[in-house]
Amino acid sequence: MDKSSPHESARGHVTGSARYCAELPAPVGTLMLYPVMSPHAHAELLSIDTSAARCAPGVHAVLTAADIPGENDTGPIVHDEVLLPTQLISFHSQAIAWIAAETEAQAQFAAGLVTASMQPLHAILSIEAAEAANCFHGQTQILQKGDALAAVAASLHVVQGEVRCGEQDHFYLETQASFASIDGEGQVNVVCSTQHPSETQHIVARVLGLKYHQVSVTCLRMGGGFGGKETQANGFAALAALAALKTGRAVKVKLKREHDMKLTGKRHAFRMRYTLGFSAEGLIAGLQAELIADAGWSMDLSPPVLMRAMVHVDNAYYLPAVALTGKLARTNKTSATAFRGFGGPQGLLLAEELVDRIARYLDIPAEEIRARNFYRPGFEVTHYGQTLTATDLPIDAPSRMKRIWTSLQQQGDYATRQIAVQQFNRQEVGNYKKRGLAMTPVKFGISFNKVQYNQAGALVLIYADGSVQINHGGTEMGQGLHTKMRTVAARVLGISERHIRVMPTNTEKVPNTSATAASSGADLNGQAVKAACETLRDRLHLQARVQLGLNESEQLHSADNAIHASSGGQICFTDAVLAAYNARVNLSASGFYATPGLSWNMQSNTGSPFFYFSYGAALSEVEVDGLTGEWKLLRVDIVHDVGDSLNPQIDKGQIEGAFAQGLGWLTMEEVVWDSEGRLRTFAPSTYKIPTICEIPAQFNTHLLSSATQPGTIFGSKAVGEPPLMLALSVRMALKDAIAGFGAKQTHAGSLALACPATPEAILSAVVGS
Amino acid sequence: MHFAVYHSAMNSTANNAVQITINQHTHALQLSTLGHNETLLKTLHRLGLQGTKEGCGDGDCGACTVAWCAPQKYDFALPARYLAINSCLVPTAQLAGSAILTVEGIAHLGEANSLHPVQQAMIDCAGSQCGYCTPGFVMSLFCDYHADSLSDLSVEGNLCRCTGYTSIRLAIEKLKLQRANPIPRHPREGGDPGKVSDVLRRSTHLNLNLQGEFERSTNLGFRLRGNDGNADGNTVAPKNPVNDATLLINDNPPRHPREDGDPGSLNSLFLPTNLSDAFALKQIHPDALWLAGGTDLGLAFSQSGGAAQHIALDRISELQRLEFSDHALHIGGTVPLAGLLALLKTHRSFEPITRMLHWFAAQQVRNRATIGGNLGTASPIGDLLPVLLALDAQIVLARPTGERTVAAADYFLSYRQTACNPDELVLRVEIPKLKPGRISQSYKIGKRGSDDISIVSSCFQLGVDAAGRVNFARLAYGGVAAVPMRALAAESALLSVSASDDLLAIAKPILLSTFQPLSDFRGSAAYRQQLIVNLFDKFLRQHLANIHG
Repeated sequence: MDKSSPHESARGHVTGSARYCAELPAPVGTLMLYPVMSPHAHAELLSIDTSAARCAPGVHAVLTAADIPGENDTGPIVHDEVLLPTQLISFHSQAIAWIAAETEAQAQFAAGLVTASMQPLHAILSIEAAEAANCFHGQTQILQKGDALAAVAASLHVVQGEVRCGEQDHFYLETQASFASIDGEGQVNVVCSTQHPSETQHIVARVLGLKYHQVSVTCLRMGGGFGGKETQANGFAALAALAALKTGRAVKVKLKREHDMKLTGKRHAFRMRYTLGFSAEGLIAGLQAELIADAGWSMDLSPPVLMRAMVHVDNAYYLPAVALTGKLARTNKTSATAFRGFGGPQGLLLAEELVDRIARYLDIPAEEIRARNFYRPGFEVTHYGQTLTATDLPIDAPSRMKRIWTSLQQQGDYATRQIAVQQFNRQEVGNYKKRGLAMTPVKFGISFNKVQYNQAGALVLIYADGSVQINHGGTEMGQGLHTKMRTVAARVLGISERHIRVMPTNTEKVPNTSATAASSGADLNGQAVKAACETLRDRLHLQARVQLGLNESEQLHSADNAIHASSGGQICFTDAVLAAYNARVNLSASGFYATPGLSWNMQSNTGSPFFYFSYGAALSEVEVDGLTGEWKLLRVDIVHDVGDSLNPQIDKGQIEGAFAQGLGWLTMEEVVWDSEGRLRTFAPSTYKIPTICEIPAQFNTHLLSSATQPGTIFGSKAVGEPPLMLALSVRMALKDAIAGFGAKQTHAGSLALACPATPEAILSAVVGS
Repeated sequence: MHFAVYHSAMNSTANNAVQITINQHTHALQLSTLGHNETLLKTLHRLGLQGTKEGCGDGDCGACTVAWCAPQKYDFALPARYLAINSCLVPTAQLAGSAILTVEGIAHLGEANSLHPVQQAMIDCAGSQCGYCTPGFVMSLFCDYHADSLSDLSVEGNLCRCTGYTSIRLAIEKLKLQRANPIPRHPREGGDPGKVSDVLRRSTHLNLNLQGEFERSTNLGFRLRGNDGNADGNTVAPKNPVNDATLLINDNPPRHPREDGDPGSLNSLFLPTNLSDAFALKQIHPDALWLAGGTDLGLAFSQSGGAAQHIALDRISELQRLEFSDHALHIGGTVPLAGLLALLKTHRSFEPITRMLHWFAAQQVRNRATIGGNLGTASPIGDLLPVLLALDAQIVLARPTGERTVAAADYFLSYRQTACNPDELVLRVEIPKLKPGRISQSYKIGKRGSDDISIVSSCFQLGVDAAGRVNFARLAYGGVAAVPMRALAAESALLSVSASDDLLAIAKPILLSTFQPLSDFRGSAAYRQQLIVNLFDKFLRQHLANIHG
């Protein structure tokens, strides 16, 4: 019943009636914001002359640092991020001022009238340059298990290498948007396309010098987030609020695509160097690695992103001894930020490169090396000290990972297709096309590493006519969170979903919320909604007993829009609600949830930070053109573990969408900066995300069966981020095909392929092999 | 203010509005607000139609897709009655008299209280997640649903960041099944929705009102020719009188204040319906830009307002002929590429063009873009240009005093400079049919492959004589020099060589020394050099076996 309800806004999406932040009706006199952007990546800001702009038609304010009544800072963890620069320009196109004018065209025109005097400074634009200048954010992070040095030294085989990957732009279809106004009591009301309304509230209050209760933030829905609106929305909300405060008008900001791409942070580029020791059987013995992330000009969320990368270098593989160091390069680029996976993808990239290397070195099939290294009984403690539980590693049955692996081999017809690929590679006429096949696993830790973020609240209201409103702290960005929350409420209250509305996320309804991030939205908020609904259900059951004249031994349950007694009596939900109202029963309740059993020591970087692990695996087949480097994804098979899905259709959509995003990151989405620090790929004409043509017709997604996860909301599991890393199977399939062109065994098993693997990178690898 | 003079001149006219039918409602849009350059997307938003989204403002993401009810004036078949177009690129004024459907306006084309089948299919298949790209997908699907041509390519020009497209593909498959087995209770399925005929009828009616625009343009002192035969020298017999009013769209004061404070000449968009009018306008306004489909110039409308004056060429019937002669294909300068593609689908002899057209952006662009625009822009990475070079196309230029023909090989002079003088325009392109036994193919390499800008594109043509010796060679490239270019030295070196010899080995060193491509964010010089050789290699591997004298 109602298992795969359509997205609660689906009708609004397809008819165009679903409203997004910037589309709210604007009061007469609403102003638009437009940035004045720096022509230098790094410069001393000597002076700004805004006098001409202030006199331009339609202009009501030119915002500079001097206008900020509170703290000129938007840093979410460390206060190192000025909203408007005072003395220093830190990245190319950084906004030095914002124009507030009656129309966007007027603001754009006036922006051209602002002049600034700057003294250019040497800009640091790469991890190497940051290293050379010893330019890092914060402390070097260390994560150790056992004596990795000794373990590597004692290994039969030792290899060294380097893996790099580039940035990725979120390319949410709706660019950053905020809409601020101030009411007669001085309350600052901000509607914002944000994944984290509470933090947006905090930053607006910080910049305006207000207490949190003087700022209200609402998120209607987002046109995509993917981590790009976890912190990145805050600054624009603060600017709109600042302009509203200064002018007394409502103020809207909706970034042009070019500005969005030039101003906001992206997925971190990483350079990872490793020394790996392994046995004759291909079992990993020890790993030393240094991970350097390009954090950009400010810290933002880079420390936890780096830590999640370090915590995920194991992927699904048991690492006996590990020595990791992690650093954050400080460069004159946009400040890299959260992006679906939050460092996990980079960590998994390293893991998969390692096992691929072992397989090539030993000339053993890669899927065999992978399976041999899986966590298994007796080898169940991660390199940060968390022990996998019996849910993942039952004593008397295959591990969850192994079950997925075996199922994928069957569903994907792996053995037969491997032979077919080998045949194709021998027979192909003209010999310029080769195919490749690879399967890769994903294990991903679910929970925020930082323990205190793992809490959520909800407020559920039942009105006297039996209709229900749900408020919770999570935000809707397309992932179907609201739809799932409605399902949770419907199941607990035993009513049909059409009686329930999920309200826009609002800091006035639920305070102190966590970001809708870390795949945790349904896990955390679902439990909070469930708790609130259970409170209300119990109150209604009490009332039902009175109405039906039942004694206390009678069992009641709510279903089919009614409350049923075990002896056969029943009362319909609306009657019970009305009776409760008449009996003066409280029909609103809040619910709260804190994930149990988590621990994380930020000094030693050890603990059990994850409530559970999410698993999946993918099998991809590609065909590479050895003359041009072009390639085609021929088929994808996925088996993914979402526990007992709250909504299989939504979960499938998350898996497939995440896969496509990972595919883009690994193969075509190339962020290019020039030698001046200018972003050259700031529009979809130059920055290429996948289209439908890149998705193979044969794309089979299977949800793991018999997968109930204990202790979670109705046995379900998080799904937002983990499947993104399933796309690593494509990268590995490409390597398989590239190896088919020539000498398979290159130096010590290494087959260098840049990331993203663009046609140019692939051709270079083909020629190199 | 000094531009008040012009303003009062405007007010003296009876009709200051552009009429356009949106979702069956007729709007008279005031020119003072609309301007000559407000994009359709901005107009829709101003009218409170927020369903159509802006994802990029560049014509690359498809979120702003709307259905343009195609005018019936072409003498060739367009692929559909409803053409998907990017509303962010087209000035609303250029569509004066047209009918448009947006995502808000299609539900009511079906039964009362029911959604359009494409909307229902998107819901049923979970085709939307965040919903922001969805209106664009819905409109692209809508257009192809009614053309009965649904496929992945229907939405190639629509970016979705959430779904991974699998659910949207499911919706497409479902709709295709529905089309194959129409459900009788949906009266308008399987045919032309009746109410849309109403839309068109109403818009036709509206066009009658456009005479007022003609009047106004004469008020402003321009000697323009209308369509009613009363004006001097009108020799073109219009096929559809009501559709052929010469229009002047002009707005004052300028929408964007100019930095120098000089109002300059009027901001105008001229919509002539015949060549002589177009040339007359160009004489009066030598700085005005020719505007064809606007898929390149439209970026300026979207991002910065664009140039002050444009003369739109999309209503000129002389430029919209598409026909075969005995030996060649004649493509009018402003024939939409979608029309060309529809025609060529049945003619394998022009496969290099067909193939390149498939790679030419996506439907929303092909429905507006033209060969004349591609030649006028003359970008070194213009997709069709290497094909024109390799196929020995002739470019016929029109000027006030007549016509002249320039070979494609002589057309491109230097970076974006061509043999086409400012007072000329591309009347048509003549492409000779491929001679029997010849082989030819086109190639395009981009970072993504589909709907991408090329790193290198190329087109080749080879022929041999009865003795098996190469007697014809064309190797043309885009993206490797400041202009689209033929590798003349390599072509000569191949002549008279036996086709069974190693043609690649002969051409390779010459090709490598012919071009010195640049490195940019799309690709390195080294990669481009590799592609220059390897694409010819690929051509030989794929097609040489089929050559015969």
